[in-house]
Amino acid sequence: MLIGIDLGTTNSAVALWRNSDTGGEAQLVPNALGALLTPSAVSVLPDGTTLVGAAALERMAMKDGATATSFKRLMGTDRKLRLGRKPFSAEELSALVLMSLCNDVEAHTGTRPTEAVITVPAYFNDRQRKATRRAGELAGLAVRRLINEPTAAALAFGLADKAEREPFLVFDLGGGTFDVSIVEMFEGIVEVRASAGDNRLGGDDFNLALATAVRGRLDPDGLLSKIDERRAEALLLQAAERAKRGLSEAQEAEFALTIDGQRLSATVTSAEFEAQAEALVKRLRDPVVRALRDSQIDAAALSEVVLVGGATRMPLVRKAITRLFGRFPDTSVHPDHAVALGAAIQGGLIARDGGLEEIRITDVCPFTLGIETADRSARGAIQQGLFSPIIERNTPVPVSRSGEFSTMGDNQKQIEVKIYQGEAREVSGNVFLGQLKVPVPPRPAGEVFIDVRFSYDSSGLLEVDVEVPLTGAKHNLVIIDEEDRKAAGDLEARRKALAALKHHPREEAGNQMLLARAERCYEEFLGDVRAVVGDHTRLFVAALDSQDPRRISDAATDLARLLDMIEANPPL
Amino acid sequence: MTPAQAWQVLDLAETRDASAIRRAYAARLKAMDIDRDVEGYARLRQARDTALNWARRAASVEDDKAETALPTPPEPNGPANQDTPPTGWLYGAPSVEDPQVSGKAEPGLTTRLSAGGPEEAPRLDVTGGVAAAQAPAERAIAVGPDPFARPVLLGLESPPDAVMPAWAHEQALYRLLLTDLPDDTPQGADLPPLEGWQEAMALGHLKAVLRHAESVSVSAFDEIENWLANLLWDAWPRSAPLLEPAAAVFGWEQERGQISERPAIAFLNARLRGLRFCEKVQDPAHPLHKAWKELTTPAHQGSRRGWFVKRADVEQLLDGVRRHFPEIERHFDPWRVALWDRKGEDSGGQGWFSKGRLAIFALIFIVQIIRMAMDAGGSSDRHDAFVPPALSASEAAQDREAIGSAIRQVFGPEITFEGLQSLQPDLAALFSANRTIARSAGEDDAAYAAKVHDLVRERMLATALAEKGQLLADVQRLRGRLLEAARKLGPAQCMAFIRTRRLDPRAQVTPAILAAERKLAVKMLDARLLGPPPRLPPARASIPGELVDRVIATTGIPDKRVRAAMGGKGPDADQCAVTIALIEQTLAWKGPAAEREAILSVL
Repeated sequence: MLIGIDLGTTNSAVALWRNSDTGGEAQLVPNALGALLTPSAVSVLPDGTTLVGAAALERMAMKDGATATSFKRLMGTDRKLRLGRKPFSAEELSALVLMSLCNDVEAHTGTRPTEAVITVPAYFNDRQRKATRRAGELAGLAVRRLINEPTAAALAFGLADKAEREPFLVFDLGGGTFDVSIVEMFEGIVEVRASAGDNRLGGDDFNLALATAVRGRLDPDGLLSKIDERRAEALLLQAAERAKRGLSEAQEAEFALTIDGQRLSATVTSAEFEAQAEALVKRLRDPVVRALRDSQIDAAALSEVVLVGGATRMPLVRKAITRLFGRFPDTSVHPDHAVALGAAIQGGLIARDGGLEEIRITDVCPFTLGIETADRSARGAIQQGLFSPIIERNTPVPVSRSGEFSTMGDNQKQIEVKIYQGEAREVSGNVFLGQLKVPVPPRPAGEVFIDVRFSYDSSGLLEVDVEVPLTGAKHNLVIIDEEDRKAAGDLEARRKALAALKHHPREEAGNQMLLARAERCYEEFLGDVRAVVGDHTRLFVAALDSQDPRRISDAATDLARLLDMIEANPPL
Repeated sequence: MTPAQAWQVLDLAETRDASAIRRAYAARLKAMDIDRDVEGYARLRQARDTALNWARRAASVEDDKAETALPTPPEPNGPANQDTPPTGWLYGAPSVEDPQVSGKAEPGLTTRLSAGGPEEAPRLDVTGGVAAAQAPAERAIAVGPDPFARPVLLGLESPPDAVMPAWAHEQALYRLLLTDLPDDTPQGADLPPLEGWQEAMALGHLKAVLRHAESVSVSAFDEIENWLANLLWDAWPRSAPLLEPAAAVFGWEQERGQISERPAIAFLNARLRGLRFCEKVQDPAHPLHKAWKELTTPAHQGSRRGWFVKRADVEQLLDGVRRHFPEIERHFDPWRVALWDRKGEDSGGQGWFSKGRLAIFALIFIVQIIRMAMDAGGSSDRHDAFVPPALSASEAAQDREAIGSAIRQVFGPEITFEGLQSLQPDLAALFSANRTIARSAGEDDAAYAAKVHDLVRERMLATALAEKGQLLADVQRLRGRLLEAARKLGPAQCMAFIRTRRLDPRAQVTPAILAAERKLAVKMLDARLLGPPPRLPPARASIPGELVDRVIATTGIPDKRVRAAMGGKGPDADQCAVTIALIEQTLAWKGPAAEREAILSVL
């Protein structure tokens, strides 16, 4: 079975394509708690069991929480996060989230999914894309295709009514990444004209801005600096998230958190939030301008501005968008669901399911690809480390382009072709993708030429061919192989290691979530309240041990009611 | 791709209907596997784009015809405007009343205003912002006969902007920077800096422009950004005080080092960094402050290096400035730089104790003691920084001699360094900078002279390519002869001259050619045509068969090889011979002047 997955920074979702008599549609699959969104959070319990989703998020601010969130931002890097005793890479953590989503699909449909379409931010670079692909493989899924999030959202948006569309703009501000794509639809063709983005800008940054603004006022006694830094940060960010949501509905909201029974609270106004987030809002403009410039479309010629991503719910972001485009954006698609639905539609297209008339998607390669070269400056000095583009950004893919380069030194015996991706004029500012050493016949400088051909296909696979016309020799490098060959050996081992982790049984997800919540309350409060929470938790654990469904359900209801009451009216 | 090919690829009869073209494209696209047939996909896309472009152009031609067929609406004039009922647009396009203003060419402004975006605004005579208050904010609107001069709502202004609309601020800024110049401003030289009151006003207008830019839609923002960047570029260095605030709003520095960095932004970013450095180094606490003071002090005949400055600092400053902000080297005094500009004093060790030098040294010693006495606070560690200055004086003299002889070689005896400096200061700076490089690289005077000669030849060619006309013919004629001289050494040397514009120093150039070259160089220098080479777009030219035949006849190379050589392929010997023959034959050819010029521009 082929599923579509939106692997987000804060939330993930899974959807599948269902055929029906009326033509079929994409449907989201609920998780064990009945929710359509699963928080992208992974936690490791002291006994080594892993938890994914809402329950893991509850444990985030606990003393030995061992919870990771927002790890999508570390995709494609070597950084490891230590949870409990074990270090995890971002792709392993993502794999755990993917596994949990697969379990949900299996529970919902009775079949274990084997193949997936996973979405990535359009502005993800090659390394980040490969890491995402590996995460899918670690989770035991064959990744049929990676598609860009705004493209997926455009599919979901465009298929809602199958009308022809003038170019429209997808504005995708997620938890950690920001993408802008300009898309046109006609005659069953979905054509991405240009994409731009900022893969370091998202809702998380707004939370951080809010927490920074409030922290001094909230905590004059420096209570937060007395506790563990990671925990303080988690508490602040969770409170910021709540306050941010509050500000989406009212002009002011309470920013509150509880540490060890002490409740800290402050009021934030939307004006204050706006002032603090001004720098972030400014960063929204640049990718929009770039995408419009690259596609040579005037903002006034856009038929629609489609909002995707949870962070576009913020009134201050909506206000900025209205100002940027001089019009109100289109909010007809569900900002959290569109991407997963689009991925499922793409899955349906790949599987050539009935009910989907043929639709072709053509995308662009959002980054410039090229090689490192050196040049002689006007003064005769040799300038090294320059980037010579071969495929310019926003070229429609698949594409094949070539460039001609010559030797720099007399009797040079080989040319090192180093492949980079990025927009900086010097390669040091770009992402290194791989290299190829090409032997050439020794001749005076500038007499030996090589042809470097880049072929980039629609799933983001880059192939490099180098030909030396003088000797007729040909060299080839498939970039994706380079890194995967290195990783292929241990991929299997890592998959086994992940599978060997104790996973919390899915059917207990609800109970686990309740238990995590009770533990958090136990840590937050002191005195009598803490004792009551402790008693009820013990009763609930005893019920769980008895394995009597009735008793468990009663104890759960009881505990949930108590927690609701405490959290709704925190004792001051 | 021609439209004819496009229709063929799309399998479609010629049509102006864009949706038919899209339909054909979609049908063809669905029939192919784009991952298997990358070339086919590229061709199909190109065909679609060509066809759509053709259709758009065809449609607009049609529209124009329809437009001219209609009776022309009466030209609204000033007084009539007053009678027109207000239309609810905030402000639109009142017609220009002052014929003098409308007739005046204001390139920068025109580009901005005629860009056709939503910012279309009238050209109105607004002086310095004072009269702007009377600008017709609520005045009635006249929609001109030009269909593109539509009235446009400028967006979400705050009330003060409506009193003085954004375009009035833009105009005032433009005037301050580019038209309100003192009468004695020399043509072609740097614009004088803004005076105090002008700077304050310019900053005020800039602030309004920036505030406006932040409140409008992305396209308008983009347009304002480009306009302002080009204005600041045109008016540099007069616009220097405005750079920092503008860069902050538009985030220009984020674009630094990107492949797609726009030329104006690249220019401004480089200046911005230089500006910041200049500012920092003015602070006496800056480690290089003293070195800066030293290098900016004007030097004259017999000047020596400053006393209380460490050589390492000066070298660091000079090196850093050259590497990172070459444009601020103009702040330095070239002779002062020449005094310092060298490495390894031990190379000139012999003759150190000659009488003259000892005398100078003794003199210096006395001066030094007097200075020490006067500057009692001077700490003793400064002794380490003292450098025997006699050496530098002699090297400076050597430098002057070398530069002088290079200038004589290039321009003949009538031009001196001072003369060069007054006629083309940047070229003079290039001469002294290259001298420094040559010395540090241990090159002899002949190599130095050859290098700067090449630089001048490069500038001559670049200017000629931009200026065209007779100048281009003259320069190409000379170049043909130089190529001929290079060819005598071998085809590789000849091609090296074509590709790198460096003439092999062993090439024997006859005195007659050199004399002709000097004459032309002096002529161009007098006309101040030897400035930094302009950026030229790559040119194309087609060579008529007649010329090809003549080239074949003169070179004796077969047709096929000649054509390959013209396309930049084939052995060096062919390419070299063909290039030379083509220059000669084109110059001798009596074909249309424009065609001749086009060919000469690509050679």
